[in-house]
Amino acid sequence: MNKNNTPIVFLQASSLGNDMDLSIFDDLGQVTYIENATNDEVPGYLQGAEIAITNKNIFDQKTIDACPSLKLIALTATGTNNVDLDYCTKKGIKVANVANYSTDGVAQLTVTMALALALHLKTYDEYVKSGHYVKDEQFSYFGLPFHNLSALTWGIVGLGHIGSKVAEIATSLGSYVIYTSLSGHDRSSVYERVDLDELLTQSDIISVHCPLTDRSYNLFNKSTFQKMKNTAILVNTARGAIVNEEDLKEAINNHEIYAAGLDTFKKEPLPLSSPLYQIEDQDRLILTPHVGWGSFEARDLLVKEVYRNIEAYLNGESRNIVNEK
Amino acid sequence: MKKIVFLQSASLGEDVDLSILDAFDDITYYPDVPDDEGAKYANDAEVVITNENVFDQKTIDACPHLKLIALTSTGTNTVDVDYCTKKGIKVANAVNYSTDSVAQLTITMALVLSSRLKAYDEYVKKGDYDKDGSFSYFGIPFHNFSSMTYGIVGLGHIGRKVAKIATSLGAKVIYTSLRDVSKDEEDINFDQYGKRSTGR
Repeated sequence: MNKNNTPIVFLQASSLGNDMDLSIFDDLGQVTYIENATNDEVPGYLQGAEIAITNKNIFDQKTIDACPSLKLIALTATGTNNVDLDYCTKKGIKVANVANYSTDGVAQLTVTMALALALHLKTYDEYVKSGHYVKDEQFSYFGLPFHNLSALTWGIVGLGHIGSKVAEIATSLGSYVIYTSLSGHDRSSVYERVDLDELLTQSDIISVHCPLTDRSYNLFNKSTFQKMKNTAILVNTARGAIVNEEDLKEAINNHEIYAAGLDTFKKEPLPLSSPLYQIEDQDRLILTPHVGWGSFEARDLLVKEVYRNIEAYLNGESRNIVNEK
Repeated sequence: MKKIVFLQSASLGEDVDLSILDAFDDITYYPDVPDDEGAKYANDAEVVITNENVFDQKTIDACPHLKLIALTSTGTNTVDVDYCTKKGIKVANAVNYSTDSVAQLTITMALVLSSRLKAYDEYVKKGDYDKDGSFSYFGIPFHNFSSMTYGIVGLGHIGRKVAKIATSLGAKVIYTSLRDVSKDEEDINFDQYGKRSTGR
């Protein structure tokens, strides 16, 4: 392709990992790479820029108004909640995202967390490594009972690409899968659809795979946890704000649910002041720094997809434009 | 009336209800007889229930009334089965009760290790996530299970269950068999899982 001079600014270049080769973007135009622009710095960097590449920078009305030459926001993510899509549409700014690059990775992390908690893996591992195993002399140890996943019900909140993948893996583990749709749509002829309350009361494992919307914000709160089984395990690899961290702390401390695995948080990085650190038994909690999307293959695919989205835009085509009618 | 002794009754866990065995008239429960002391407690028994007590020739000879060894396990390696046959003693095991349980633990360990779960959990809980200031962290690189090759050594019931779960996770599954293939095994659908390798 002919090199053109379209001014492109990569606002959070380091957010894809230093092992990613971003030099392919130089083929698309005049690219400026900023390691990690803060939200306040965005308008300054985008003066004269036609294309902005970002992961999480906020594009509200104020920011958009301050970037008059902007024509495309190319997100290095699936989530678009940091962009005022309606205002972009009004201003003739296209917004592109990348879907499905992290399906396998997020599904795998969801299942890994659920299994590690359900099988008390950390406790058993420490039981052996601390020397208790040899001291207790029994060839096996049942101090912490656990169940076959094939005897459990796994509830999926949001049966999209990731939810479906998790449903498939849970089924191969023998779990009975049920799902709920916050938007009220049937998504599957294979799995039983139930309303949210039924999912909460019936599930042994609940995994969250829905987008962050007004309906899902704070969805897992005090009254939600009270409806769940006190042996239930919650895994959230969707947006952090879907789970109320203060209420989760209370729920685990008061044995209203058994355990939780979280890859995402309301504020990232998770501050040390978070109520999650006040959960007494930290073995009932697995916390990962938003890495479900971060496998080598997922990031590599993400880079390629963002490139293709921008390339298409430059060719006058629409690819993964989320605010196109 | 057959005398039954359960030599390691605690080995199945305190939460398992053994009372159905009380239907047998004369059963004695010993929670945890050491593996090499079976003869001491089974010398007048016709039926022995055990998990790991050794029944070698010496032990068998010390239990003249023995007619059945009922193992609470699949493995029979603690019993001299040939000698039992010679002495007219039957040996029963339990198969396929733990397929799901063993398969799920296998997959859990593989996933936890390949996802670097412990390291990431500690990264957050130690406060490094907060300190480093980024919404994500790439210091511990890992790969999708779906881009990996998963090798199974022994495609029996448990191996096949693991193969099925690994396949749903997207891994490419291959397996090897340490036994020679006999006619009995040809009904297993080998084609489903990659190449059959006869190498070690």
